[in-house]
Amino acid sequence: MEKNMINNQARASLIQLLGRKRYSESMEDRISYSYDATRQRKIPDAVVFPENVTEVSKIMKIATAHRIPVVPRGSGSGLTGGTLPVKGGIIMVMNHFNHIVEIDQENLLVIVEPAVINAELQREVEKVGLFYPPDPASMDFCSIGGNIAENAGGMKAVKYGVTRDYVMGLEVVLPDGQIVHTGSKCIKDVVGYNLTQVFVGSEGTLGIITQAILRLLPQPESKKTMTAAFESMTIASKTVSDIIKNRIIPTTIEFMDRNAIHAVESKFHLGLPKGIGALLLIEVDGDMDQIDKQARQIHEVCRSNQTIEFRTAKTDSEREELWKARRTIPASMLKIKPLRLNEDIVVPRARLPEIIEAINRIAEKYNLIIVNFGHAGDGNVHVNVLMEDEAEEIKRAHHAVEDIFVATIALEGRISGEHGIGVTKREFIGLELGPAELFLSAQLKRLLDPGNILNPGKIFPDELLSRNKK
Amino acid sequence: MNKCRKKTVDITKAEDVMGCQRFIDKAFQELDKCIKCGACCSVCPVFAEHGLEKYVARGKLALCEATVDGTLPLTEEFRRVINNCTLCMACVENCANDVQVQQVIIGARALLVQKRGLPMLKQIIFRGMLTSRLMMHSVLKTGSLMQWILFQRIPQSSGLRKRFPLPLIDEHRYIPKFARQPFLKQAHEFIESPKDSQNVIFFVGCSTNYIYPNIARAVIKVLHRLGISVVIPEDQGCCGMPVMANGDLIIARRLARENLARLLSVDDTSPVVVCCSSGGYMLKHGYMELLADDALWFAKARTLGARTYDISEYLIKQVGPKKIADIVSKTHPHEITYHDPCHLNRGQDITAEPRELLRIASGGKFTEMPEASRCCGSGGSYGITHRDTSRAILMRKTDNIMSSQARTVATGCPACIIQLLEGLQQQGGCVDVRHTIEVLADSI
Repeated sequence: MEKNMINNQARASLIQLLGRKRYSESMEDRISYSYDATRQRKIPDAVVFPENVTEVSKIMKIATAHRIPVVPRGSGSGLTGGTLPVKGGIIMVMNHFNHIVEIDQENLLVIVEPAVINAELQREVEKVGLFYPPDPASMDFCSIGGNIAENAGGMKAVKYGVTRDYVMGLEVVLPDGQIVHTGSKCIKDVVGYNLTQVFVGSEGTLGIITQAILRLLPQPESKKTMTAAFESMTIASKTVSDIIKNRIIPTTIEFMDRNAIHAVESKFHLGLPKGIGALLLIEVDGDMDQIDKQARQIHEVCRSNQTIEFRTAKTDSEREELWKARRTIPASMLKIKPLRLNEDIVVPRARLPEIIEAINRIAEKYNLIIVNFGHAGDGNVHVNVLMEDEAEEIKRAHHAVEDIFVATIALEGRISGEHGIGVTKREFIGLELGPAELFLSAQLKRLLDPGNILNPGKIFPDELLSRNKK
Repeated sequence: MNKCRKKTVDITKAEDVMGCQRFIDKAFQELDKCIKCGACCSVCPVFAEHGLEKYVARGKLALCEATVDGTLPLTEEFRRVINNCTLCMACVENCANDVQVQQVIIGARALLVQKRGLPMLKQIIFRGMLTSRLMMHSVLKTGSLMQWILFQRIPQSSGLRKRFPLPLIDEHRYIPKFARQPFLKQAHEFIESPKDSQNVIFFVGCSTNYIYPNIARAVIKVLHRLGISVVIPEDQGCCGMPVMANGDLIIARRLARENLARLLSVDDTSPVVVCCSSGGYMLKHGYMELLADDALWFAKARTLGARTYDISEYLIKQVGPKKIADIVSKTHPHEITYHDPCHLNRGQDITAEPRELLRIASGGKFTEMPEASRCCGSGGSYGITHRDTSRAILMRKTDNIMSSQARTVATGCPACIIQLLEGLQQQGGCVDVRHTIEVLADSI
């Protein structure tokens, strides 16, 4: 048993602040906040449930005084261990921050608290004809706070960008308990540094988000969903390039390779033609006449690339079923093999065919099953290296992942597109960032969190933060 | 008297103890399938009310894992968390890996019963269910009598209602009236149809038998009009769901065997129809799950399960909508909506059949409510043991019912009927709650 990081004095202060109901050291609470979607487990020493920003600030002051690590947690649906308390300490559960404070229809923005669920925000703004585009596959259960902290992407990034592009301002509690407000409700705002974007994608290591101002768009009039089946992933990825070359920007172009299709087919019975090697799920949105024209053009491009089957979803439920199938691929893969390494590399989208070919070669070289799916439209590939639970295969899989990262970087890509680095990829960050970038990042972290108490052990190898200490 | 004693003596037969252990082991194998993605958080009605991770499937599974690897002993808090589940299976339906969460919950409850025992009250009730139907009958009769004394005799306005509250029951609670005479006491064992056609065996279920005999009468009326003869074995027992859901698998196994023996002894071919969702779930799946380790009884459970039908399923799939439409003479007068019982929808995959019956019975005046398949919060004894959460879940359901503007809500489960009546009574009682088969029976 590791040492409990919470001393009696800190415990007494926290209980005095939060009461016994919102400060827990019960094993049941600690276990139930010990994991995220990486399937790793690290049991925290305590769990706190603050109700307002003042309490968050006071908790951080207590934590700073006693050098207790604090890890903020939204829904715990992250894929890289962002909410795992790897250095022990306190899990700060943000579930009380679950209000949509204001939907400002005149300025097209919304003020939200971090525990609001992405899909819930979307539903609420849609009720007044507005639209919040970022939609990670976990949108039904992931929180906006987590989305901002990880700079989540989603299916619509090809046309609408990612979370970063919608965050106008933040309320953030710094590790020492200071409350800062960044950005504003203004579209144009050049007052000082762009501090908002410092916190977007910071994976909970620089500050705790307690409120956000998010930009909204008018809801597109209509949308159309199509699927196109191809013989191979190579042809499908060439089709994606052709669509973009034709100056069409669909809302989404998702792809699934043969193995991904196989993983979801047993549950969803999509009734796809036998033996297909790739499926594209394409959606366009906009005015009726505009989307009809785009859909026709897309059909044309698919046909010239020998699509085996082209379908248009006729009803909303048909459409929803297709999307549900796509969203559940990650969880469905367990049916093929019990373990997987889950990477989300991204390349400039024109290089998609090259990276797919490279991954296929690597799969062959190491004799592994690799499932690829993801966001073809923005070059973001979810690479899943499947493994049996045996040492030799696990070793091969890790080698394969390294090869994939090297290939990605050679194609001007990045080793993570939207999942973040967290704990699962931090040993690889040096492949991507040079010593100067790493040094600058470490400096920034040290400036905001000199005690290294906020979500320690994430993004960078431990040595980096200690080595560069002056 | 002798009979009673004999059954109490061998109550923990060695095979049953082992069978129970195998059930737990098999259930806990499901734990490996959970990848902790969090999808269950978006559908769990209990989590929606509490917002605490330990109450969602993912959290409960993590706690079970921790008991397996020794991180967590079987604490009182663990028991409380594991008991805080309606077994609605919404998480199972939404799970990409088909983790059978309900099995894990029942397995964990069984483990708790095995290691820590059942609370005394539940022990007495469950053992009572088993030892003799006579006793069960008299327990419920006593309940009926007490209720009659307490609630019929005391006027609504009397302060006595407040001064003599029943345990666990508050003064605002809707209390279902027990029938003066259980259905099985009144019914003939064989109701022959004038036309010489198929027989069906009718498994009545406790709630219908003791509280809503009208549902059983409706089943018989409809079948009779369709020219189908009905066999009603008088000594059929409790389906075992309440016992299984509370983790007393030993008693559940015995109830399963008794019902299997009784129902299979009627004949080899007749379909068995059920008018409660839990009974249907048990006959189709529950008995096989309970008796998985016992080749002989498992085979019997499979045989019976294969010819068991929910009444709506039987009418639509085996009789056919056309014949049903032919017997309808006066359609239901106003808009009707439908609440999916969890164990009919997710438990047996039956959603279209009751709606089709209601469309026929109402001449098309059917309207969907939002979230029709969301749990009503009843969950058997959950409504009594977790009153506040159950009420909160129920409120969302009644809001959905009210928003449909229907004047009747139909459903296929007597336990849901009790719950919905309570919720709707608080909303002013202007929506009528009926079993699907009652709506149909009224229209012929």
